[in-house]
Amino acid sequence: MAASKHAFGVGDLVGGLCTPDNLTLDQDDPGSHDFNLSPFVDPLPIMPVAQAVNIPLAPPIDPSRHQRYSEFTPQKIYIQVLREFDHRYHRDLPETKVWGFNGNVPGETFHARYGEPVLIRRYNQLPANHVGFALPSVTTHLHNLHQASESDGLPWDPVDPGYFWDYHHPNYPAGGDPLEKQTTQWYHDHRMDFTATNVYMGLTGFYLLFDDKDTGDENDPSPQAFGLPSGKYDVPLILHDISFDPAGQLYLSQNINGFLGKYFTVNRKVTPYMEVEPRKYRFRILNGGPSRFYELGLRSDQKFIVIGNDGNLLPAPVIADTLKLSVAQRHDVIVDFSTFQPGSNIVLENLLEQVRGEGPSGRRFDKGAGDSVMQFRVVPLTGPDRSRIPKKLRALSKVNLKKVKKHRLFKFDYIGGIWTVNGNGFDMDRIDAEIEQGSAEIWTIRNGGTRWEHPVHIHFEEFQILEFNGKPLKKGDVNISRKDVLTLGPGDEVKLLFHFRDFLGCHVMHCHNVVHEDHSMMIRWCIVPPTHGPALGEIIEPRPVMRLGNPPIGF
Amino acid sequence: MKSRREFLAAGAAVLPALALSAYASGGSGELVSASADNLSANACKKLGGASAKYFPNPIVMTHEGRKAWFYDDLIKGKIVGINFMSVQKEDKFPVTRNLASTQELLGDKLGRDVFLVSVTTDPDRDTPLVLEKFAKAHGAKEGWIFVTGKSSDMQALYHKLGSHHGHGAMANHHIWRYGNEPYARWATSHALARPHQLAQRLSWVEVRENPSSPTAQL
Repeated sequence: MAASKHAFGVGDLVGGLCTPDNLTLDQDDPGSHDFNLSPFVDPLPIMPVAQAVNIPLAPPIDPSRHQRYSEFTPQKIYIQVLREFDHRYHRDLPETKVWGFNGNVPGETFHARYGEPVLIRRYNQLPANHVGFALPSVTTHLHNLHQASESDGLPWDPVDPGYFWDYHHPNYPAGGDPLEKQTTQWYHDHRMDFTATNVYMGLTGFYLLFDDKDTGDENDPSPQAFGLPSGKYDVPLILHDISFDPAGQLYLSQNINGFLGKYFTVNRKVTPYMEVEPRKYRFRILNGGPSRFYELGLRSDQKFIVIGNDGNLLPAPVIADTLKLSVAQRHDVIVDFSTFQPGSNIVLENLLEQVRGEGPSGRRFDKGAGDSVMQFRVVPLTGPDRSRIPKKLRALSKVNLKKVKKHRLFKFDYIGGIWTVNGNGFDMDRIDAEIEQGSAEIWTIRNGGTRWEHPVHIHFEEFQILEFNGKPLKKGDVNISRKDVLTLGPGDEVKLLFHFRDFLGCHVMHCHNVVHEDHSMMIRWCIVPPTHGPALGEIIEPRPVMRLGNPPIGF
Repeated sequence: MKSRREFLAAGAAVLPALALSAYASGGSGELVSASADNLSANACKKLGGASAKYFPNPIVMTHEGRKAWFYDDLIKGKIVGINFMSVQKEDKFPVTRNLASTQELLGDKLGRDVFLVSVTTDPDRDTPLVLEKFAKAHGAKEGWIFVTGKSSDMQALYHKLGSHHGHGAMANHHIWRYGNEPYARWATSHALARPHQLAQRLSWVEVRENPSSPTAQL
């Protein structure tokens, strides 16, 4: 039965999110303040596209710090400077301090191309004496791009104020297999124990990948080109729920179950609106956390044409009424507004009830009665829509179990207030799994809990779901896809297939409810040379450390 | 109007610490609670600070026999690691032994730059005298304080800082809270994380000058 709840219609005030009787939004939330914020008064911000630089880097890039650098010599160099600045989350709120990249929150959107390796130098110029919940020591993870450990932005690779780090992204598909190409990735802070706080402060952005099929040009005459909506009709949307203190400054509690914000934001604006033309749009929707799960729907008869899951194009589009997104999950969708007259408004709403940080309540609101996330306002068409939705997109590589060398079981649970994997909290000095390079493995991920959900994220390699609670996925399920986040409901057990290729070194698996992650729900696993043998104690990987340096003039 | 500290000092002269009389054996208090019958510790205004809203501020008794306001005296202005323990449970969950090893790694910084606070979850048995012996047995140095107090106050601390769900019995000692109070930086770790990792975490929350900023180069 759907939960009953008052609906926020157009012109309604955006109140606090759902709080059924006898349940508080957040058990530990004395500092969070209710503002009467009108929805749909701020336009949706669109992040600028990152621009490559053509200046010498000082000190220069050190190729010895990067695996396979000479094979993937960067063709483009980018500079990002992390700083603190003021941002207004809503017309009626004062400015609040945020952290961002080159003055942008969220950071600039990268447009990368397969076959065109890049290097991003990121300078940490955050205030060392920052007062507040976040730690101005950072590490920027490029979420599941296929990159070596030293450029992954791992939790144990801190970059303190005054230092920089070079991130080398080969833009090379796993195993050199074109079917492993990715499309919608994102970067975000991953500092050990402080990921939730630093992401909440603003350290996120998109990294999109294009190739000769997904070309980023809807008018591309190439017969291979998909012709998906492009340019201003290709819109990344990152969702965060946040709260403010009575002074209108960002507020985050110390609750270790998870944090639920009072207000929905999209691209860091509270419940914004976006003008759309009556034509097809590609939206890349990302749940940026920290702890909320979404089931998104449109308050219209419009459906989502799902073309991607976790940044991977599906074998074929799937029509869906709603989109489920646990933290860090992404869906690429096409929404066709061509049946709407200019002047029409369509609200994107969240139908999932969640009152605790641990996970959704299990209840779902009726269509039209969910919480408003943003609004689309239809304006007149400015030109013909030549974009297309191909019948076939990117096939899945065939499941080949011959290379499977190992089965592993990971149980997500908690003990005494510490979120655990196989009974342990995270230990940066312990290797929880050693994996032979080039091998495949089957991992069984089990939720030991009965009340909470975990969005389990595995770095570096995408997985396919072999079994969900003992059964294969049904035809037409959007999760028949390559993925990097697994939504693990209470008591769920899921079998995943991985191949581990191309680079040596250590990575992590963790709960992407970033509050759970910070409270220890993470393991470290390492890809080792196949000849190394089972008694391996050391891992061969370049372990660069942060380097001292100021950004060049003009940044 | 007198400041709270002046008020407490004055109270010490005229009011016996009734509520904490069970701990009289712990030694003579520097601070004496005026809360006794008619003034709840939690009703007293805190001194204020970056993290004042977050921390409970009950009156506790230290293993040295001092009475102290938990937030005002033990947390405010400090880089501190906070854990929960009991003498009885130490064999099963050796958190104090782990912190004793951590203490060695902290060296001179303990008591000067960083502090450790261990809160008992068994206040009936863990009197100041018991904690004093326990601290001594573990070689606790200056800067590492064990605290006990009223059961309800220990529960308030546990539910706020040491518990997963904010309710229930004081059953677990897994959570170690650490942070830098004046800068409002707080995080948690597993209390049995390796000693060098716990020590390292305290250094993470320290404030260091940006080494490449123009002012640092002057």
